[in-house]
Amino acid sequence: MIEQKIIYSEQLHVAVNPTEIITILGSCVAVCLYDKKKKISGMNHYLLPLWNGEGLKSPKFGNISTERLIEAMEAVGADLRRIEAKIFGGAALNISEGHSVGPRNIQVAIDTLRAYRIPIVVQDVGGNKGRKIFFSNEDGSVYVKYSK
Amino acid sequence: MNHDDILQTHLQTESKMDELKNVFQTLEMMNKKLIESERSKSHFLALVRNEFNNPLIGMGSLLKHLYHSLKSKGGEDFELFHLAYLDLLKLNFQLSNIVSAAEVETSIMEKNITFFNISAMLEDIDNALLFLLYNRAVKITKNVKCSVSIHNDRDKIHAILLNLLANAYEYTLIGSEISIEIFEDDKKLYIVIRNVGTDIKDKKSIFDPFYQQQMGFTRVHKGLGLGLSVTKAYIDFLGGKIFITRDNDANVFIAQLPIYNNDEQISFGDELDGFIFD
Repeated sequence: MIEQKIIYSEQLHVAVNPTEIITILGSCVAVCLYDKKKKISGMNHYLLPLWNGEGLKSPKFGNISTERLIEAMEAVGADLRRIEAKIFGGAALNISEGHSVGPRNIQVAIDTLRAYRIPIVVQDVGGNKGRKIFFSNEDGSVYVKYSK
Repeated sequence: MNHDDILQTHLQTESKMDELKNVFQTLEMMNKKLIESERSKSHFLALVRNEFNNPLIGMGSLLKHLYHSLKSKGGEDFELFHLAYLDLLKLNFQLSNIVSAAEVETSIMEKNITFFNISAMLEDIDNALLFLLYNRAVKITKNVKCSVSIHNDRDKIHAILLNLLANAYEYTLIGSEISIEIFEDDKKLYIVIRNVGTDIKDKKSIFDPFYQQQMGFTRVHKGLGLGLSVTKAYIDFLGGKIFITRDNDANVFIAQLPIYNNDEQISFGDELDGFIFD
């Protein structure tokens, strides 16, 4: 029996038991991490690229959220050397590409994962369509539906 | 330039490069320390959450029961107990903000949409903030113009209201008036809290953790300076906004929050093209 866990903006979830993590993205980005050997999956969903010292260090920001996700994966036994990443979202919705937060959200995911030497095996980012993603830890696959 | 000059210049350049290397090393070390310190802080907050909060909640509910029992009997013992009870409320308030900040910073926030009574919540908050109202002679007017029961994240709305009211009570002038208005407009829930007080100069930093208008030796107000940062983080998390405006001699905090019809639904997904990434 596969559980379903829906996460919203500023949340993250790590699954050890068979789980499908679901979220909906516009300009937000979701980083999906997977440890194939232990079948541990983790997904975050963040709104803005960088925490600049204002307010609390909340998972609203890509650099904070992705670091927390990596720590949470390791805390339940995932091995950093085995973790692979897939990144989604960062669309430019309703506003011109230049002013969209989407591309900057994508860049933060890439930079943070690079700092931890986590390979990005799939990236389906940018564009101007919303995405609904379903991340299964049975095989690490991500099913993406695009808004029309 | 003779050989000695060249040698001298070379030595000077080498020495400057060594100096620069040292500066870089110190910078790297400071940066490492900063990251470690941030990590320790988050870890400490998480420990506080586990070790302090649960006993305090237990003690709070027992003392609340005792408070009402002793209040009905009256007497000297009650007066002493009353003071101790106010201290407990103060401690509970501060600790709940530490716990909330820890939840935000350790990324363990969940959105739990339930159906609850907002008027009853306001009464509960009044009881929780007795320590701020004691001997202040503040006049409070409340006006709830939305449905009495609403769908939203109960605990987060509670924390938002608690902290906005605590801020108003703390910073209002003794004997002045505070008004609380809660209403719905265009599918949004508005919480408007107005209190007479000095103008807030830095309307942005006020939401930073540990920030207070007067700090150090000029500090006159109590508290940790965490309440408004928690409020802002929760409002952001729920997809809302917060503004501060000035109305004559009063500060007005306006929180705008989304309204849910029932348990939050994923509203699209059936009419999409799909693709699978193995």
